[in-house]
Amino acid sequence: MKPIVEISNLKKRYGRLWAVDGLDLTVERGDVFGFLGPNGAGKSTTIRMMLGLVRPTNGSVRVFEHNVWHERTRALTRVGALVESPGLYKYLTGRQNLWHFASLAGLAKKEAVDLALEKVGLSDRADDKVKGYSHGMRQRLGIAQAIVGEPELVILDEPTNGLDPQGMKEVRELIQKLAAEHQMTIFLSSHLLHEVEQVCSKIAVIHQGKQVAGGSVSELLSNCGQVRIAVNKPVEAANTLDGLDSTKVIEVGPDWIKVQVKDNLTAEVNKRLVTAGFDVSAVVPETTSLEEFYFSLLVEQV
Amino acid sequence: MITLVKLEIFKLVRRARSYLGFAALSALAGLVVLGLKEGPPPFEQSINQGFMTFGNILNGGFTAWFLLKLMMALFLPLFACVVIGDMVSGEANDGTLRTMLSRPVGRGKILFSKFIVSVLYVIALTFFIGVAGYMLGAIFLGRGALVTFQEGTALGAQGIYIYPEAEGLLRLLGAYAYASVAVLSVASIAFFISAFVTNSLGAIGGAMVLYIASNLLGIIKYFEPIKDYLFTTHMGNFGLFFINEIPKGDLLKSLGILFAYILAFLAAGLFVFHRKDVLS
Repeated sequence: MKPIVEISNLKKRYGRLWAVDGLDLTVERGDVFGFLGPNGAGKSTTIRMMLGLVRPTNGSVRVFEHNVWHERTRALTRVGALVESPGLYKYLTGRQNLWHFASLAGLAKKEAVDLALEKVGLSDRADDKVKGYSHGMRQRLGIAQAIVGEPELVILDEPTNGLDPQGMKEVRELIQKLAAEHQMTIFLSSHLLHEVEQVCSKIAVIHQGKQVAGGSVSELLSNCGQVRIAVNKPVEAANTLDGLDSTKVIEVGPDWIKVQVKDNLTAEVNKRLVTAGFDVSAVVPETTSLEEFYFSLLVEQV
Repeated sequence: MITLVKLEIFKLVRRARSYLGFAALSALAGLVVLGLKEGPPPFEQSINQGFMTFGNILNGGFTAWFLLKLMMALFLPLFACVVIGDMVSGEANDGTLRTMLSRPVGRGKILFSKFIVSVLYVIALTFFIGVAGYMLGAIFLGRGALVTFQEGTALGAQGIYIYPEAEGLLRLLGAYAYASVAVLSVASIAFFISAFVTNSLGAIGGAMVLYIASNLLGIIKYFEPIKDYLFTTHMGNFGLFFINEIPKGDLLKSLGILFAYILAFLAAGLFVFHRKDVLS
């Protein structure tokens, strides 16, 4: 099956600055895809190119097999998006806003509008003017306009911005529900790493317009190559392993050592210790949080 | 396209800004009627000095004609630009443009629907001043024949013209239709600038600066050779409708030049809007 989003060698230059510099990315159907990167990394520019708001300097974005810049309307037919802070008409009510944006996509049906309002918990305030909404309510209405009519691909740029903890939790649950129950593919850009870790199945991390890591979250977080070995005489065991090219001792505990192992040679390390006469009672791969992983990546880039 | 036009009308009628021009022009029309009720303007006094007049010269028709002359100089183009200059730039500023353009609808269609609504708005605003002037004049001054005093158009038609009430109304209708096109020529500049800026003040200010500059070029002798091609030269030619034998050839030429400006700015707006990066 063809990916829903295919980004190939995507570049965007503003003056002398390359905001996006040779990005390659694919999003498969059903993915909840996290898009991470520090401020100015090129996330918003990439999202704008995914929606045909910004013209790529080079490369292409294909959505549902259509080039977004050249076939915008075909590419975006099954796409809903929230780009940065929600752009809403403050002099219209929430319902009128939703009706307006749904009409542009030919999705203006009363049931669809009501359902989207219900999903974001705005049914009670739907007929109030947006100028009276709090920041969080506007954010939720922005999400509602992205999901009205149940598009197949939903692109959300910082959707929990300005929400209180309860609101953030509700949005996380909504995203999970949209993916699980409505089979929507979600492309989520966020600064909140724990949010991405909880919600996303795949991630891409970009820095200075280039992708620096990507793949499934579980693989990326477990494949950092560190193992904790429960062993008697940890100091001696550490000395034994220190001489090997394939390993690097990170930390020594009272009855364990933490070792960085290259090229999946964990079994070899275990064999070496046992052969040298150590009692190895457990070898456990270390998992790291997305936050640790993310910052270790950024440190590497500096 | 019809859906897009309906949506644009829906937004236009719900914005307070849309009514600013109507409110201001109503107030000005009221002031003019009040002034006419208190005493005739200088040229009407001169009529009475030179001719013996019967009936009611200051009436609804006269008010509508007088208001058109008065408002076309500045207020009508200005209030039209206040709304038209905000058509695209206002949406860019509020961030609604990026939400709109994230939807599967062509950029050209969005811009063209906004232009259609701009045309409708200019027509409504221009005819509003005519209807308001005529109604207020008729109520407070009475009805009667249309007496107009042409101070001289670009084509040099000068004099006093008097028409029966029904014919006067028809001539007023034609003059207001022409004035709509003239106002649209200025508004289309605001619309064009609005397509690539994110601040409506830039679009309104830019259009007014060009309008004033074009007016100035028209009165400087050095620029005489290009005078005929300036849109401002032709904006005041609604006065041709009040000459006995309306010079159709001249009227069509003026209309042609105004429409050429309108279409050129629309085409330029479409060109820019189609290619621009939406960063706001």
